[in-house]
Amino acid sequence: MPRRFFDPMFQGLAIATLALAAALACVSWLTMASSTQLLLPELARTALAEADQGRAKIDAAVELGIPVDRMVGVDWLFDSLKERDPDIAFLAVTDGKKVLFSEGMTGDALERLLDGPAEPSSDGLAPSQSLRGGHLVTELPLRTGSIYLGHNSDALFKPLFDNLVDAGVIVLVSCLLAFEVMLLVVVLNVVEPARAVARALRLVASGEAATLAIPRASGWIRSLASRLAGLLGAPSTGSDASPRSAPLVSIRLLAFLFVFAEELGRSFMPIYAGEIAASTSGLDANFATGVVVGLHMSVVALAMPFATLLYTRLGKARLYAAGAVIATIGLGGTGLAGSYWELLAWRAVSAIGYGTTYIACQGFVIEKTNSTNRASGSAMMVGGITLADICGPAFGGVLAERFGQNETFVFAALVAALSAVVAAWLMAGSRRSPDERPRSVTLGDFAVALANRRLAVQMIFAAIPAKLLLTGFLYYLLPVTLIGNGWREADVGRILMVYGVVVLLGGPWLGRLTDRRQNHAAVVTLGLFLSALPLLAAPIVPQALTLPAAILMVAALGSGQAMSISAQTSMVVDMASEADVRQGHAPELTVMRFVERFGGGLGPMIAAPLSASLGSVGAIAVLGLYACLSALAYAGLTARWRVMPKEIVP
Amino acid sequence: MRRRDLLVGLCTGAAGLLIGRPVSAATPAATPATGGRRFRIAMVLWRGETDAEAGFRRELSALGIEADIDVHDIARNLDQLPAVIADLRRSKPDLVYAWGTGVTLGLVGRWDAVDPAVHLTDVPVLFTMVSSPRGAGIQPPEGQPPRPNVTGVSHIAPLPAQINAIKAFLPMRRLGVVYNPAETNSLANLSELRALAPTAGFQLLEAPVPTDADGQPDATAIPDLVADLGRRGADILYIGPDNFVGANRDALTGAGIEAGIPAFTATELEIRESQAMIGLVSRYATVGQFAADKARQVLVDGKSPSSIPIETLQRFSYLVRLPVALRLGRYPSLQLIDYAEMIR
Repeated sequence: MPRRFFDPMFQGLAIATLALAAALACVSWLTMASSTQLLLPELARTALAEADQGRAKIDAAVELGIPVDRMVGVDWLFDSLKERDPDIAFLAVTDGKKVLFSEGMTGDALERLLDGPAEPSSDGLAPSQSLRGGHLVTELPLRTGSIYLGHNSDALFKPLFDNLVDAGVIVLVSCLLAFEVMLLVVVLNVVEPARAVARALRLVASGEAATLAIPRASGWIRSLASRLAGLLGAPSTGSDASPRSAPLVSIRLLAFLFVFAEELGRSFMPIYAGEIAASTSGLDANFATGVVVGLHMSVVALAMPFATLLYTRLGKARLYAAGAVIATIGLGGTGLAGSYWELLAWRAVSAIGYGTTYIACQGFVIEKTNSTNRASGSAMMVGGITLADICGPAFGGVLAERFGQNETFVFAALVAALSAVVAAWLMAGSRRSPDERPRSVTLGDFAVALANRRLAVQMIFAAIPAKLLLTGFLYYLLPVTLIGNGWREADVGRILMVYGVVVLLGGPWLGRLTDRRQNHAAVVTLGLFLSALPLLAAPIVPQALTLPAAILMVAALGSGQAMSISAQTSMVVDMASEADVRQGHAPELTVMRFVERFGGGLGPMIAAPLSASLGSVGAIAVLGLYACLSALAYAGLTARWRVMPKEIVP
Repeated sequence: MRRRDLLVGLCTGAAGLLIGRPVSAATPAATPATGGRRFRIAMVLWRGETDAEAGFRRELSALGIEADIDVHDIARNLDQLPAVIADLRRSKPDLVYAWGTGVTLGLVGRWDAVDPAVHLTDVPVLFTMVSSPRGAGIQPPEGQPPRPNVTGVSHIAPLPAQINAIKAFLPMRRLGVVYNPAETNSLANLSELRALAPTAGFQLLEAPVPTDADGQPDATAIPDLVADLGRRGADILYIGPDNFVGANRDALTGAGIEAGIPAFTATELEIRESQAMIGLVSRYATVGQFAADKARQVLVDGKSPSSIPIETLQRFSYLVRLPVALRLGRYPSLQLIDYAEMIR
């Protein structure tokens, strides 16, 4: 068991978070229970009213003199009822003895269903209603015979289930956010001051001169520090005298907030852009949507080198604040955009904000770490981003469904604004370190990278296909297909969440597996196949299995990406010169990251026209085919590369 | 193709009637709109007053138009028209109301064969109950200028809509038509049916009514014609705008029932007062109301008839004569029952 589980601070945080989660879960459950009591009778009443509509029409025909067994148009009646309520599974007319007409289910299956036992009745059902074989069956007498209307009970209870899942998403996001805030508060108010006191005491114990600045903390830790500071004398400007400096762990919250703001719109962005494009652009809506989604990623990639240049001049705090303010404007504008071209402009502004805050966060990590702990600092930032990747789409989907898409973007803008405020508070008074700044791609890097043929193979046949799959499928085709099939934004958000969860949970494990295998090229190939093969099956997935198939595809994509990302990183780092690696910078990796980011923007732009000509399902299959062919080519080209054992540096 | 697909364009509000221009329904009060002036209108009718004239009169009253209406009933005898025209030339009414294709052609002539000595050219003529104004030559073809003194309304649904109406009730592959080859309106309609048949996917079975020894169409031949159509596989009998067939509607629909063939009609009388099974029709009264609105434009607004478009109604009633359907075992679908008017 990891040692940190025995860390009292970790235990305290865990207990507090669990208590909060339990409280929120209880509230959610109680809300659910009461909504079930209210909703079930309402759903049963709706089913009864629909059955009565059918009854009235057939009775009207019988009353005109039409024999019930010669009725014409029962199929139309079923279709027209189902058009208004897709949860209707079957409609049948009997003469009291045998089934005369049966729509949505064969007569034999229906007779078996009606002869079968009814499930224990629930409160809220009418006497003429029963639950049988996964259906809510409503039976009403006709002038001659009976009419049976069956609702798929799973679908009928879907609103209740959706509410429960939405509540779950909100609880999860609240807990994660609470954890981040509590972690930060504890580190800021307890851990860091206690460490400062401990350091001072260790210096005193070893007979060296020590000073202690009075920390911002309150309560016993402050009084202890104050007394100790009084004993030690006036605070110096030495290394211990920066109590206002934000701890490294702050990066988790900062990274979480700015990515979370952007990810809130992820689940419905293609639909949102598509509707605006269709009504205002005059362009092909599919293509125009692809441009909106793709443009954001490309502008992020382009904004980063410029943000890096500004970093030295502004410092991380002002750069982050500037990025967050730009993102606030961009997201707010996205929500209020009146035309396609406005939307395009606001998305570009958001992307500049995103790229800028990203670089500021990288700078923060660099400033707060040295060569020994930089990796863990980067991992903290990635942790915050991954959490936001998981929570953002799901929470945004819930918000969009409950309050509207425009309102969700406005909320996202508020989150971005909040991140600016938090950054201003956390980073206030922090020192600059102009000597060291985050690296972004330079022309020199390109010169180094272009000379490397293996890197070209890596980028063309592995990195770019993997990224195109991610952005073309996950960020564009999946939302378009699912929402087009009638799924809600919240459903899409939760499916996108699966990707983040798989990467979060599977990433470290798959990374270790990759390290053990040593044959990174094989792992990259395997990862690409794993991502792409399920997509090939998209055209043959039955409508009823759309959701499980989508989840499977996203999970496979997540696993495949997690496998290939770490393996690719290892391979590219191996391609870099030792001197570069020792200096902590591999131009090959920087170039690949840039090309990946920029190329990622092409994913939706390629997927959109494909979707227009082949349908979104066809486009998914074509993307899958492209990635499979790339994987085959990659496997062939890398087969002769010598397996270079990776130098394991302790 | 499923049956409901055929109903596109037909079932949208077919149960209700909506005419091209707002009429009395939109006129809450009948206030004099003529500044106290009384107009003189001459009605030239084929077979006495029908519901169309009743609708016309009601609508005029609702519009606040006061008029003295002078009725000339030619009692199905076109030979009386010259005398009527002479009378109209003397009396010079403000508007002449003409009923049907024969009367209208007699009063104003074909667009390309107007003889001022024979036809009315200096009095506004408003026709009604003309099934195919252009087909009959009353209205000039597309591209030609409108006639200076003629406007009017048609009462027949467009032929594609009629065929859709039939197909909404039963699968129809062969359409049987008994018609009087001596009637311009009937021939015009038949010509349109011939053109439509290949694209609409049905075969047209024609049965012209022969003439008797006097050279008149022989009504006694109708049962044999219908029986022959039955032998040739007609799924339904079509009754279009044909005055002779209209006058012998009972013989035609009765023979159809005997042969097990239902009849479809594009005009109201054959289903309201006879045994046609289905009809896509405009009510005569509504046609009259629509005509009154055009009369208002001529009389009150002072518009030239040439500036008032010749139009048909925009929506029609789908009628089913239920006893005939039940007797033939041809049951209307639940969808049809939803919007059709059932005549019991």
